[in-house]
Amino acid sequence: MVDSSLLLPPLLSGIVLGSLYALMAMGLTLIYSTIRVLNFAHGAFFMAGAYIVWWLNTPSSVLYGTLLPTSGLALPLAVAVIPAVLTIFVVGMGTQQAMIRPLVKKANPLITTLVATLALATILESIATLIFGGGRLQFASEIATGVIRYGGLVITYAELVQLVVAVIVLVALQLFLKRSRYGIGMRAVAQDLDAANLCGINTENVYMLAFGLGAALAAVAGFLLTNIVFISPDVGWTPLTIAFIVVVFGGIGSVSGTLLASYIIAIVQQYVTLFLDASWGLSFAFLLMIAVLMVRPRGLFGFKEV
Amino acid sequence: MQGVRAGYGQVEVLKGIDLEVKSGEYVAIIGANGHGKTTILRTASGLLRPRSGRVVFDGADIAGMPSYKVAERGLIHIPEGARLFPQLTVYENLLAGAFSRASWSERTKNLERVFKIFPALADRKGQLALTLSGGERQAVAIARGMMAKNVKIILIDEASAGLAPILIDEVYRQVAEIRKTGIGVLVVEQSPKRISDADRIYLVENGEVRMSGTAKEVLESEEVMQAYLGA
Repeated sequence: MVDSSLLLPPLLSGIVLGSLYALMAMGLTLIYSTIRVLNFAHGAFFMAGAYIVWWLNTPSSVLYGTLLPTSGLALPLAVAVIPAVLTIFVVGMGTQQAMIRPLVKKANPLITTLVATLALATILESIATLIFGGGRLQFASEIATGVIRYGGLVITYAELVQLVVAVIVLVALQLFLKRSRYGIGMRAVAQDLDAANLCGINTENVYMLAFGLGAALAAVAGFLLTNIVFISPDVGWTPLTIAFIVVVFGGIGSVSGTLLASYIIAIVQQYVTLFLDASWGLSFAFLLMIAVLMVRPRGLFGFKEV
Repeated sequence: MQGVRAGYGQVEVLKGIDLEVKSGEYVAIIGANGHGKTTILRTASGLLRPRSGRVVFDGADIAGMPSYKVAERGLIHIPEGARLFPQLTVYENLLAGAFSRASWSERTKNLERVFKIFPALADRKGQLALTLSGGERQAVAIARGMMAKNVKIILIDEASAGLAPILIDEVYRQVAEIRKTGIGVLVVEQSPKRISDADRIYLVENGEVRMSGTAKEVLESEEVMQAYLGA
C-alpha cells in the first residue's frame, strides 16, 4: 500500500505539467481547426523557442556547433523569452505563407501539408544541430530558485512560474478568441469557410495569424519546459507526440476538450510514474487515448463537423 | 452582370447572364432548382470566378475578386441555409459580420441598427447559433450581413426555403425593413409567390435569363405559367 501522503504531490505536478501540455496542444488545435493542417513542425517550434532563449541567455560567446557562436548577451530568461517567442511567431506566419498556403489550395492538402511540416521539423532540427551541436544544454541561469513547502506538498518556484505563465497565456488566448476581431474571425473560419469569406473575413490573414500564434504557443511551452529538462535538437518530439494525444483525446478542434485532456493525461502520467515507473507514463497516456476513442471516436468533447 | 459565364469543372452552369440591380432597388430572381440561381449569387460575391463576362459593382469590375473584398465594398451575400457559425453565439455571429476594419469600429452602432430590424435577436444574444430555430437562423444570417459598414446591396439566397409560411412572412417583413434603409435587395426564390412587390423580376432557366420585366409583366407572363405549371 502506498502512503496516502504520497497521493497528493503527483496531482500537483500533474497540474503544472498539464498546463504545459495545454499550451502545446492549444497551438496544435488552433492550427488544425483553422487551417486543417496537422502541424508536425510543432515540436520543432517548441525546440527552436527553447534554443533561441538559450542562445540569448548564455554569458559567453562560444562556438558550440559549426555555424554560429552563442550571443554572449547573458540576457535574463524572462527577457530572452520575448524575442524568442516573437521570432517563432514570425517563423510560423512565414511557414504559412511560403509553405502551407501554396499546398492547401491543391489536391490532398491534409497529406501534403503533413509531409511538408514533417520536412520542416527535420530541417529545423538540422539547423539546431549545426548551430548548437547535438549535445544536451541547459540555461545558464534559473528562472527562479527555491521551494515552497505546504504540509507534505513541495513546489519549486520554477514550477510555480511554469504554472502561472502557462495559465496567464491560456487565459489571454481565450480572451483573444472570444473577444477580439481576429479571434472571432479565426473561429468563424474554422466553422464555415465560405460563410466567413462572405462576412468579409480575409482568410489568408486569419490563416497566417493562426499559424503564427500556434507556433508561438509551442515556443512558450518550449521555454517553460526546458527550465527543468535539457535542451537538445530532438527535445520537441515527445511534446509533439503528447500534444497529438491530448488533441485527439480531447476531441480535435474543441478548446474545452483540449484543456481537460491536457490535465487528465498529465495527472495520469504522474500517477503511473509514482506506481510503476516514469518510462510507463507515455504508454499509459496512449492506452487511455485508445480506450476513449473506442467509446467516443471523436474524443471526449468532439462534435460532428458541420 | 454582363454576359457572365461560370460553372464547376466541366459543367457550365451560367451561359451568359445579364442582370442588373440599381441602388435601392428590389429585384427578384425566380426559377426552378438547378438552373443556376445560386451560381449567379456565388459569382457576384466572388465565391466563384466567372469564366467570362463582367461583374460591375459601384463602377468597378469585381469579377474574380476575393469574396471578403467584395463584402468590404458593400455587396453582401446571405447564403442559402443561413450558414451560421454553429458554435458561436448569436452575438459572436453578428460580430463576425463586422469583421472588416471599417465595420469593426462601427460595430456597436450597427448592432443597434440590426436589433431595431430584428428585435427578437436581442434576447438571444448569448445563445449558440446551433440551438436556434430555422426562422431565427435566417434572421441572424440577414442580420449578420447587415453588420457590415456601407451595405449597398444585399443578395439573399432562398430565404424562405424550409420555413413555415408565417416565418416566411417574417423574413419578408425584415426584407421590407431593410429596403426602407435604402439598401438594394436581390432575392432568389424558387417560387413566384411573395415577390409580387419587387421592382423587377428575372426568370432564370438553364443558366440563362428567360425573361425579365416588372413584377406584373413577369408574374402574369406565359413563360412563368409554363415554368411553374408546365402548361
